[in-house]
Amino acid sequence: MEISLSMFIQSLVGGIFQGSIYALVALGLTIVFGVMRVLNLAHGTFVMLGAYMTFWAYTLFKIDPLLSIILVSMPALFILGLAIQRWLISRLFVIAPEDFELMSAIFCFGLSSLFINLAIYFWTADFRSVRYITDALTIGGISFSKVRIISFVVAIAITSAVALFLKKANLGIAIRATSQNRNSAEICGIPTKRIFLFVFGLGCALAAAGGSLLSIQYAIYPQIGDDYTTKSFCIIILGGMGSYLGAFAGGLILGLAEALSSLFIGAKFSEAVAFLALILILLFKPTGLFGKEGS
Amino acid sequence: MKDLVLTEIHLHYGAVHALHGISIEVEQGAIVTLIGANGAGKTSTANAVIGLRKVSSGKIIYRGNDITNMPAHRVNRMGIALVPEGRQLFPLLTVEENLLMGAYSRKDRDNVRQDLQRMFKIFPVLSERKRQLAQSMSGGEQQMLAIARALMVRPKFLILDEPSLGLAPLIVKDIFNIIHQINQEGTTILLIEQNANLALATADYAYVLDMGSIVREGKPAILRSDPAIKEAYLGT
Amino acid sequence: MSAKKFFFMNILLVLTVSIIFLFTSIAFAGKVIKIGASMSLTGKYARTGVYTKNGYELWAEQINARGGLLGQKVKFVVYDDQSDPKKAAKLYEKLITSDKVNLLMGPYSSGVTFAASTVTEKYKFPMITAGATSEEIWKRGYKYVFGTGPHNELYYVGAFEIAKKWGFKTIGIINADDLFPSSLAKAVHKLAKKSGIKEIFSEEFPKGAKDFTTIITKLKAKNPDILFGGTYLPDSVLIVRQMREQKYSPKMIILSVGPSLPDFQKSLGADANYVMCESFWEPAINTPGNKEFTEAYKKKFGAEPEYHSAWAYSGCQVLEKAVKEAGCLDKEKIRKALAKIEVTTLLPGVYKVDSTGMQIGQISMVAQWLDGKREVVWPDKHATKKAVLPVPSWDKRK
Repeated sequence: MEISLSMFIQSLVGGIFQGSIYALVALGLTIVFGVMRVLNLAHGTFVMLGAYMTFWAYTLFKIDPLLSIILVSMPALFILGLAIQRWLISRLFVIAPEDFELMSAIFCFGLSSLFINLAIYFWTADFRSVRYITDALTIGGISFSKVRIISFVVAIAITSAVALFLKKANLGIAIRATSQNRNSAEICGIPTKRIFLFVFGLGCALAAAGGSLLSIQYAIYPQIGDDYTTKSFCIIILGGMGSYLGAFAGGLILGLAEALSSLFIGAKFSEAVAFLALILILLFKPTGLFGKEGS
Repeated sequence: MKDLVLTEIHLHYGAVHALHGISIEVEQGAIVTLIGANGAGKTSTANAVIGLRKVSSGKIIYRGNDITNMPAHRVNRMGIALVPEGRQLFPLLTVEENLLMGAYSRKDRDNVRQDLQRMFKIFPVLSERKRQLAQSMSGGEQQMLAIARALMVRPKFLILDEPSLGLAPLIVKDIFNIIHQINQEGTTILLIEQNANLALATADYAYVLDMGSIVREGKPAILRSDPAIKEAYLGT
Repeated sequence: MSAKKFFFMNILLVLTVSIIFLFTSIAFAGKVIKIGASMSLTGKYARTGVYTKNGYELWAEQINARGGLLGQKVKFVVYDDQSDPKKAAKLYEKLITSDKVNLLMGPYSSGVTFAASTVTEKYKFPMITAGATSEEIWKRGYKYVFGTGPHNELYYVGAFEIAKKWGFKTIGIINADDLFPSSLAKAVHKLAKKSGIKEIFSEEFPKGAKDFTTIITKLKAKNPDILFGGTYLPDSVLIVRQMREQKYSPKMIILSVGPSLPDFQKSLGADANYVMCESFWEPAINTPGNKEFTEAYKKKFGAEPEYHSAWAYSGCQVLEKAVKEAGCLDKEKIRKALAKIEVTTLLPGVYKVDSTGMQIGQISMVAQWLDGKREVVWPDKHATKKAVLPVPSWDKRK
């Protein structure tokens, strides 16, 4: 079909909005992988839990969904992340230091199905959604959903805040140092076990923020995060494993690529785009777009 | 007075017995060197002291405190710093960030800023490159950064593991001058070296490590005249 | 009493009790008809799976209260297939060979049923499905699987009758790329052709898609009179939301699955209005026993029944009739009965199958959300309201 300019712009807008949430969620995954070498296959599950936190905060206590990101879902998942790291993953590191990456992946996979089934058991498999702002602005024939504008702003704000923290704050630099050389970090006096705790908590909190933003746009259900695990992995491989800039750019690129491929080729193929990008990048630049070689 | 006392240290890597009960003493204010061939157990000794490797038995006492198997970040807080073998910098942090990380455990932020300037004075090349990534520097510059990073915690005790490895002779000379200077400012030094000539020329006391055991110890002058040492380590 | 004597007395006692238990259990086993099924109690179909199981259970409870089937009590043996077709196939194998159940009911969803029926066919064991409608199941020439719900091609007969009456000329079809929604889309495609309505847009989207901006932009450009979406609940909700955002309003909107669930309206509020969907069953329709079923369900499960439960219950009604017709538990006789009987159930049509076992006597009603309620608008016999068309544009809505 003929594609008009306004259709093209509308798709771009949709792609960027979607991409900002991808970027937010993928940032959490890439930090955890970069610092801890944990292949967190439960990342999407934390997205789901964050979404439910916002849903319940709204349904039970009438807490505004945007407020609940800061007050409920991020803190709750941060604490859950701390607990998982403190009592489970850190032990895994002691039990299986040799093939930790593989073991952590298997462990997280198990954790993910545990949480999903608990969610089904306690919250049922019902679809839930928060009725938030539902109208849209129209500017020059292009419509901007208000809730998606808000989500975009929040996603970019959180992502930038975390990026700034990693760049400038002493703790942020220590996190990067730990990811580059754990032993050196230790001999510099950085308590790397506590850094790990913080990092896993942060990763979960970022996933949760993504989930909260999802809950105001979309009907949520216990398996809603599964997609985000796979897409986040595609994004961080695309951007370069452990690269924060890569996660951000990769998220936006994936959002745009999905929107444009569904405009030009057909929506059916938009899902394949992530994997196509993954294959291309693995073939031609295995370290990812922003990956640093040999580090 | 003794700064560091290692007593009967045994260390294993899985089934490999790396240190066979070694005992070392380091006098406060001295430069003590540990020499030996590749694989003799020098780095294992350094890692045991700093807390990166757990010992199987034995005791490590620093200024009267038992630091055996204490985690490295706490050993650092006691005033012991390590310049590790192969530099082990944070490759993707800038020079300045690497130095800041060296002072991570310090609470006196203002003094840290001053010390940063002091490092730039001691190592002018670091000042020129403070915004560059550590990995972009040459071997000699990296070694300087590694030493500067260790100094940022204001250590009372500094362990240098193979600081001359892979560097051009001229740079090695620079680095050893700096080591002397640090020592003269009051820091005790444990120098681990494969280059025995250089080490014996620098140190006040020396230990010779072979296959995980201390085989000789003494003043450098005495060791240098020992024919067996001459043949095995001094290449003459 | 000496210790030795006491010991033997005890042994004797234990033996006697055991023998009594053994005999009663054999006697009891002989009196119970075991009906096997695997069900999606966890996994992606968990919710609807549980509704289906509720329907089975309610029927079992009621028939036992009425004196049982062929004078024997019935008992369901249900295993969780985790919504996984492969698992379901294994479970049916276990039900047949190791549990030796007497009768079988189907699992939930077309995909799972497709896999499970390969096993039941192998053992020549008749299975009644009350949770699957994809015609693919009956295209394989199988003889032992019987459908009870309206099959895909008959979902939207009513909707097209309405569309023709209103003189709508063009249709856009979108659907999730999953077995069930795409078979619905195919059926709609055929119906459109038959009704002389021109298909001017069609596109598939990935199941679980979280953005429909582009598809809606394209639809808006093509502007068909009718929009049909082969959807599940989350995508149906998001499509309506994003249609509103882009102020896209076709004259008639039909979406599958989602709008047939109360959550659709809960998520969308007034935006749910005017959306149409298929409806197998509604609590208010006037079929024999429907009122009693709805009451009993509410009493037992403490919630309004969903159509899945009524459908499952109806499937059991068919089973009941077939066993009575056969007069015994012989599988061949039951199969023959299932192939020929006609049964009135809770569903609006009549159970009747063709030679492949595919359902042809049930048709789907058409429902439309109006003023926050799901109203039946077709057929007239069961209608609670008249359809409101064309759908008013977004700025003309209250």
